[in-house]
Amino acid sequence: MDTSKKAAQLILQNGGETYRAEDTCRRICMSCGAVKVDVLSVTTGIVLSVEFDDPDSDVNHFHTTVARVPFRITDLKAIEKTNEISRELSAGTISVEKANKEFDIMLKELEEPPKPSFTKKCCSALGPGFASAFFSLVFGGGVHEFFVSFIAAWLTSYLSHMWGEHLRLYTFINTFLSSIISACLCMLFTAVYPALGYNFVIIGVIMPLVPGIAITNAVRDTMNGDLVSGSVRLIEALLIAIAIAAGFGFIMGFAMQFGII
Amino acid sequence: MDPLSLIFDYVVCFFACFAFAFILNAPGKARIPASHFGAIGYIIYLICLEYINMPTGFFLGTLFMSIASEVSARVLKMPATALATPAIVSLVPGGGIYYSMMHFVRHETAEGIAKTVETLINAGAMAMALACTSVAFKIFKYYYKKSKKIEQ
Repeated sequence: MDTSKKAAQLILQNGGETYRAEDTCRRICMSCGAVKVDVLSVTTGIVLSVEFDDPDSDVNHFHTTVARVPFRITDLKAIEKTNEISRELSAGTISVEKANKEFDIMLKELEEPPKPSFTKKCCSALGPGFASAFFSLVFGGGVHEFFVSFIAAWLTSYLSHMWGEHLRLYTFINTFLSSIISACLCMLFTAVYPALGYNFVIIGVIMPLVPGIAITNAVRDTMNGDLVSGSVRLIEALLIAIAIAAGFGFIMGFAMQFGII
Repeated sequence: MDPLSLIFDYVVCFFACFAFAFILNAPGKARIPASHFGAIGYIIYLICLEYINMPTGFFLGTLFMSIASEVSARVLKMPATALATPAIVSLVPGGGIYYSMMHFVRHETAEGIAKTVETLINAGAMAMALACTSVAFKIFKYYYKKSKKIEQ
């Protein structure tokens, strides 16, 4: 039961949908011989109650456990790995203890992520950098916009990793600060090089921050009947969009006052 | 539509979705298919923009992406979200958010509200497409299992 709770918690914390967490939980418990499984999962927690059949007495045993999901990141590989381990567990290919150990390792990684080295931070910031650069091309930018948005997004991502090491803040504040930093960088570049198409640069830089994943999962959860999770995720998506708009609008307003734009 | 610009858009969108697959830490096998789906979806959106209208473009683009990712999820044995998420990123209305925000910053409230509503309608179209495919595949799976049971 402990194992299934950990599996469900991992799925939710890595950005999976609630029906997937519930389904995984149920599957693991049933394969380990439970009579009845009741899982309630919302975006911020899981309540699991399992009924075991006791052959010695007439009364069945009930066990209940709760898991709290304090924050969520998006890590598709972790969701896939959890899925695979739970599939192997219910097929009987691996033992419960081994699955338990694997889940413990993954949970520990979420709680205290290993302090990444300088090169690792640089490389993991390349992803958003390239994504922003290519998106600015998609929306109509040129070579100048490509490079500027690459640098701006790379720096923003690096800085947000740096403060994320020391301080774990809620996504809203993280997004707000990131958007302020990238807006400042974009305005700096525009001040130095006035012919820059700052529109395209900013759209490119916005794209990694925009909560597309949150909207997807919100819709999926709502269509499965989990209106609670669906609404929660929708509000989270709206909040992040407002954070982005507020952060950029704030700095762009200043830039307009100073005549940079 | 200029086919050369379409090919350029395809390639650029492919690399953008590929970079996004790295941000989201997608499993290795899923990165290239997801990027292809994202790029094709974006091309569908551009074509619809020319001949129909914008929300239909979002709807059809997202529809293609989610159907393709569900089908390839069965083939690659992965959860469908791992394939759909990097693809959908290319259609998410980041431009809409930026332009509506800029209108408000420039005190052009009417255009700002118009653009915000347009962005919301586009996002709603995407959500509809996602909802349709997830429901369709649930029905499909149900009938598939039922037919398998009858066979046994």
